[in-house]
Amino acid sequence: MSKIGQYLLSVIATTLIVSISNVLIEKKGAVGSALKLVTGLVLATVIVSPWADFHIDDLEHLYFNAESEAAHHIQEGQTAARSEISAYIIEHTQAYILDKASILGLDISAVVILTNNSRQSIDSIKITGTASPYARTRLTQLICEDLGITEERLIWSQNNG
Amino acid sequence: MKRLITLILLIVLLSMPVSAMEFNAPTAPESAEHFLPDSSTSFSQDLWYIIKKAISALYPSIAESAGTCVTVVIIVMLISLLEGFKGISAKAVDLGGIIAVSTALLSPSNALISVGVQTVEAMSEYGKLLLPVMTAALAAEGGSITSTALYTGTVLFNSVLTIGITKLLIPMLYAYIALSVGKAAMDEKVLCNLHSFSKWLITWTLKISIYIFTGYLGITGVISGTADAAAVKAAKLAISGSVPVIGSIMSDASETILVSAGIMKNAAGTYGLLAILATWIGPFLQIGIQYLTLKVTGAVSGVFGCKRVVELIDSFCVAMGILVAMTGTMCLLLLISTVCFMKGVG
Repeated sequence: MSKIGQYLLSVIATTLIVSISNVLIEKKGAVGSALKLVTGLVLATVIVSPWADFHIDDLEHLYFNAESEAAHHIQEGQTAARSEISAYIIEHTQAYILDKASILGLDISAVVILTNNSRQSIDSIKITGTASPYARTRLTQLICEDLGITEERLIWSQNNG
Repeated sequence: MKRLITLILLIVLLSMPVSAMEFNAPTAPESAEHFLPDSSTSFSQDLWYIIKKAISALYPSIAESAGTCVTVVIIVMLISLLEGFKGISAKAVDLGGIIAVSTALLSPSNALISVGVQTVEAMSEYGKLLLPVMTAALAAEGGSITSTALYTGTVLFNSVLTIGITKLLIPMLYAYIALSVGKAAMDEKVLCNLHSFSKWLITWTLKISIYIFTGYLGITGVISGTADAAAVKAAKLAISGSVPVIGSIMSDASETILVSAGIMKNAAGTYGLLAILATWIGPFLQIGIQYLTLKVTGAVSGVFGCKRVVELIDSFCVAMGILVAMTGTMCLLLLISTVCFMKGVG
């Protein structure tokens, strides 16, 4: 409030000086008019003086700050959404594999690994468990066809039955 | 013992959030908390609750404003009475009356200006906490371009308006009041011109800032919203066009996350809207009551003559109107941007 007090004081003091000078120079013709103009300008300058503290550079700085903050918050939101999507894909793909495995009478566990890029496609699948050669071939075929991955990216680590 | 440990573990597991993605609105400022309902029912009911609470908390302000109003009317009556006596200078009576009315009105006006400044700052601070949540939620929903434009614009305007109000317009409002007193006391032409100029400058600044802000939101909303909608559509098409099973899983995942992000964003936005309104409504009614009582005081005082004193009362009334406009502009800015965030992609 001290700044406001200072400002008010300067406005009131200038107003008083201008008013007194206006009374004194009231009937002085052209010189009087010119002086009135000057005092009027001085008063107007004092009144709008807080605006002088406002610089366009500050605005630019604020804008770039806001933009970099926005990028940071967007990154946070997208990361949260991506990790949620990844969890969903992993969970449902695992459920799909286990469902197919149970139809084939297999007791396995599957770990789905997604790619690190933004597309979030399946990078590889690690299957652990016991499977007969037929069941293993059949499951591999199903997974490759339905989940769109190559045989090389399907890693079996099992005790073959 | 084993059962107890299992039970505790189960409770801990159950209390954990199901989703890792959470977008919660920040808690409302302290001044707004007692206006907000304990549990949310619907937006309209919550809004009604806030209004009822704010009105019920208004009685002390009404009593205070009425007290000031009565004091001023009594002063005006005394001036009118004294002006009727012969031998007493009308100018001296008027000047005495102006000083008395100014003294009576300055203190409550000063207190309300402080309330206005605090409200603007509280809303601005709350906006700075709410906007990142809304930005992240909108980005999770696929509106990264929209959220960049909205966040950047709102934060910029929020900062500019807060600095503008606290550092430029509030000093000018004080200057306006000082000029009103000077104008009433001296009836000087220069003072009259400066008095109307300062009022024009404050109202013009507020109007222009809200026009520019809504214009900015309108233009960027159309451009970025279309770009985001196209990007989301393209992503969906790319996913559904891939391998059948995994394509459908990925499509479902994307759809589910978009919907849940949207739900969380709207819940946070709704709470945010209520919190902003709850922060604003108390001071708004308080200043509004002062504005209305000053209007009534001006009208009643007009009956007794005393033109210059009535003009002074009207100027104080205008100052309160400007204060309402300042808090209202800040509130409107945050409400508009929150609604734009809630509208989201498309």
